[in-house]
Amino acid sequence: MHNLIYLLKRYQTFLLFLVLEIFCLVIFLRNNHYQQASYLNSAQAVAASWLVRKQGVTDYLHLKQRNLELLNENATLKSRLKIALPPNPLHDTSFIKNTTRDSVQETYQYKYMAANVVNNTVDQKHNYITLNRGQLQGVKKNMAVINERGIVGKITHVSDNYAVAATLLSEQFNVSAQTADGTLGKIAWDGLNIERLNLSGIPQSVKLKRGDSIFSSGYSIFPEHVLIGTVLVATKPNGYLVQPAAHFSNLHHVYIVNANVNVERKSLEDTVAAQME
Amino acid sequence: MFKPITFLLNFVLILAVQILLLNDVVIRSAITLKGVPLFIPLIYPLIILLLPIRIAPWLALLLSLATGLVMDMFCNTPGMHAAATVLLGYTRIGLLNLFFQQNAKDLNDTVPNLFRMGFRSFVVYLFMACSIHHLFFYTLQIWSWRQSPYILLKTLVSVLMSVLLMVIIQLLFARQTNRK
Repeated sequence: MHNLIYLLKRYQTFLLFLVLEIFCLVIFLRNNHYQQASYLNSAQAVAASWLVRKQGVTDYLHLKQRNLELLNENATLKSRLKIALPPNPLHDTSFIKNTTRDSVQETYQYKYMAANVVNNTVDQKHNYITLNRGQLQGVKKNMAVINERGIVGKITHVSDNYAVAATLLSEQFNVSAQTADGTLGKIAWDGLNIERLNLSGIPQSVKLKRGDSIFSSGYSIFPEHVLIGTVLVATKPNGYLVQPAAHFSNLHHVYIVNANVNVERKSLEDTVAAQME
Repeated sequence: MFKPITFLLNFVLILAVQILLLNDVVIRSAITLKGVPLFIPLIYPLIILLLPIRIAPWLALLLSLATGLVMDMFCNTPGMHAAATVLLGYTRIGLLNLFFQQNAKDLNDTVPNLFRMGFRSFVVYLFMACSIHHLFFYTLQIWSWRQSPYILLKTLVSVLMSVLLMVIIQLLFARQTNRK
């Protein structure tokens, strides 16, 4: 007994070190998947409120560029609305473009919520962004996050007023993708270069060229036909390197996509997958 | 021996610079230098490295844990910063023994900073400490044996950057603490 106490006293530093190190490694090993970062995440109120303050300062540095981007986005959206411009009397007015819109088919499926990116990483194996919208604003886990360029990621953690989303730059985060003609494939990231995504599962009969666009398919949480990126080069017989459309190192404003149908479907699929294991 | 106020000042200031400034500085390897991995310069180990030499080891370990957990919270990394910093807090004792006589009695208040240790040994001290910390951190981060050359490369590049920044910080601020 005396010896035991002596031993404990002698090696107390080492023992404390072991305990603390094992404590950290347990947190690490239990949460080393992009969907399960630990409770210690930046959606916690204290951390997030500091990050919001920081963002308040840095936002000013990008105001000009952000305004341009919003203008461009507005222009694209307006042209998509297909509402004819008011006829100019100086020009020929005989041509009036009639747009008929089928109100039955246009039941809204997605609702977009604007959010600010207050924190962002790109150097990790699982990269996250922190957003200034949370549970109280209606954000739920597994909602899609996109910006005006393309898809960004999906919500993995929600606190009252903040949320954390895993970006496409996360290992094991696979997204169902399709080409312009509807061929299905899978987008994943290998953890090395933030400008390169891997596209796989495209049948050999389909040859993609440099610059071909890759869109999200309707089979994931993302709305259908949102740009993911453009093809750079073919790597394997049916694999391609894709340059992501969203600039992950330069994210400021994003949209959280509320697609009720999809969130419900995703949680159903998750429970099925859990039962299969 | 251990001055809580000095520590708190270091803790808040260094973490603020790390989180509010350096975490946003990402070196865009894809554009500038081909093959150099993306990394964030880590200066927060300096908080642990500047603890007084004769601080109780258990206290140093707990402070390391706290520092690491705060970093984890802001970076969304599960336990990685904490694990690396606790390892640093433990190996720091051995490292300091290389530079200071263990039995010397005038070490009570001494903080291992640039002016106390001299430029060369301080840089060596930082370099060794950062190597241990960064190597362990990036091993956890990348977590794949197949990519060990990549881990080593990333460690080497970021150690050089971190040491450079830490020395600059010391040159700017250490003189005042030394005069006290």
